[in-house]
Amino acid sequence: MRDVSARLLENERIGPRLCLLRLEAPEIAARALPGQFVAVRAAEGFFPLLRRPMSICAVEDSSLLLLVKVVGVGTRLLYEAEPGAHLHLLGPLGRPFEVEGDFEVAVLFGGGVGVAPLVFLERELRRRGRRVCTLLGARTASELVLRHLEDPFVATEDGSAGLRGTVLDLWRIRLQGHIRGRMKWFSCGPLAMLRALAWESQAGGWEHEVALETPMGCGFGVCQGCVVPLRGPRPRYGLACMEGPVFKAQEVNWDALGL
Amino acid sequence: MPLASEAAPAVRTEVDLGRGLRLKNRVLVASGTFAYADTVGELVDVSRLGGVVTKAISLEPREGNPPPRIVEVPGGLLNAIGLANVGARAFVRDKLPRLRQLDTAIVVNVVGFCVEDYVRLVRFLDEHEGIDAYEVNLSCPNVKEGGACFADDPMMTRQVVRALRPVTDRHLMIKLSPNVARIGQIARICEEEGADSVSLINTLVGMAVDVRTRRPKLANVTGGYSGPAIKPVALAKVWEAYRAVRIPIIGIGGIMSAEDALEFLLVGAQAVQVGTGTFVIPDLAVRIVEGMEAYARSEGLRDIGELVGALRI
Repeated sequence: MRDVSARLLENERIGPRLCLLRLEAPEIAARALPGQFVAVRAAEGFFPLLRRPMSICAVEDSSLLLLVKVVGVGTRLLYEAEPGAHLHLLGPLGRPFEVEGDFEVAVLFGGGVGVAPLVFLERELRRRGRRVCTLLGARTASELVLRHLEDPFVATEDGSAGLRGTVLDLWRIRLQGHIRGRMKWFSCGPLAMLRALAWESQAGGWEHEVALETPMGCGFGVCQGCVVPLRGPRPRYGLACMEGPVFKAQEVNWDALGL
Repeated sequence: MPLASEAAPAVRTEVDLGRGLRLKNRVLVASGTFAYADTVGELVDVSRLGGVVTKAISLEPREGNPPPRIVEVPGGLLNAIGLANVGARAFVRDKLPRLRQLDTAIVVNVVGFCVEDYVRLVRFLDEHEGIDAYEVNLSCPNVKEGGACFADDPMMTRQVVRALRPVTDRHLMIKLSPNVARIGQIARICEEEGADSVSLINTLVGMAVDVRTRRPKLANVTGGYSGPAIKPVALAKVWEAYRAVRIPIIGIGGIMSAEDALEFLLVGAQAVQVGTGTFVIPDLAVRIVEGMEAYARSEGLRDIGELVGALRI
């Protein structure tokens, strides 16, 4: 974990509320693993105050790609940042996806900006010679981020691209029953999507890791704000920044998560 | 380093706050913002700090409040962590051995839900080496008094300090809440009952609402407000306490820079705690230590303590 000042090399505005930042951060790029994140300061001063946790979308040489969706003041500043600007990044943070293990096909599910960590993951899995199948969902075509993925299956809620429906519909209609070999699922996206996928994978008996997004204060385990309710012999809270953001889907107490 | 600063006489940074609490400088990290100094890794050189105040420790482990526990608001954040901690036994077994190896003062923040809890907890911790002081956290409900918060009530504050004083020879620092009518009166009660210092302020009670869902943004409904926005409140409370007591005051509240820390010294604080700022800049407290020394050199001070209460009115 390093606290670095990273130069913004490129800011590709994909849509009115979505951009892809390329940042020069060799110390973090050298250590980062798929599923990990960085905590980004959107401004030099203390307004907005907290860093924004951002999944590492990809590592290319010594640079990081971060996918940013504008949701508030901090992400708006990141969207408007121009190349040459310097941003403070803390990372790599958190527990990565487990890419080792006894499976033959990796099935990746991304929803909205939840696609971000899957780009990094897909590349790492392919580099290791794994078979990968990627399913991507969004509300509408303009919110789909496809360019960095290899031939994903697509669904949109409004039907403007791919199947009309959710990634789970996409799974059931187009893919279920067509995949041969032991699967492992990896998913990232809105809570409702992850919850539905967790039930599906549990019913199917497939190994499944989810990357969760939670409100976060610090990113390195001191504030204890980012807890996720976990199941087990003793129900407890796990810190998303230290034990996560990647959790085993069956370990998460989905009923207790969110308001 | 420029030659001029090498030639300048060293500035005295140490301070003795009494009853065994000696700090190498006047900057500590606040409770609940540094865990047990076990997650910051190489980000912070802990030996550069005056001290570390641990996460609040209770007799039994606590999972804390359900999420969401934290929300950003203008000028700061609201938190409702709910005193999540490993509990006293796991603390002395798993955390204290590492903490006491650190070359800095260790202040253990203690919390209870009745007077007897505090007494049992401090008795238990007193059997273990490596603790320089206790910071007594009174911002919790007294379950034997209908859930009223200890810190908000002068009489309950008095009961806790009175019960603890005979139990330990270690330094007792009482952490005061700003959510009271007269903080000076409560500080004086702590002094009368034998407290060695008071630290202030704890967070302000705050709330935020999502108008779309009409729900509070924290699962706990209300939380503690911290960050730069509360610094003016904290300075005024420290100033009030400074005029009320002779025991040392440790200033806390929205400190984000050396200049902020110096303001607290000028209104009467002997030392400060850096809290929420650490979330944003992990080594902020170390940067503040360096900034205060640079200021003292530029002002030609021999001891940073010359600034304490040096407010010109």
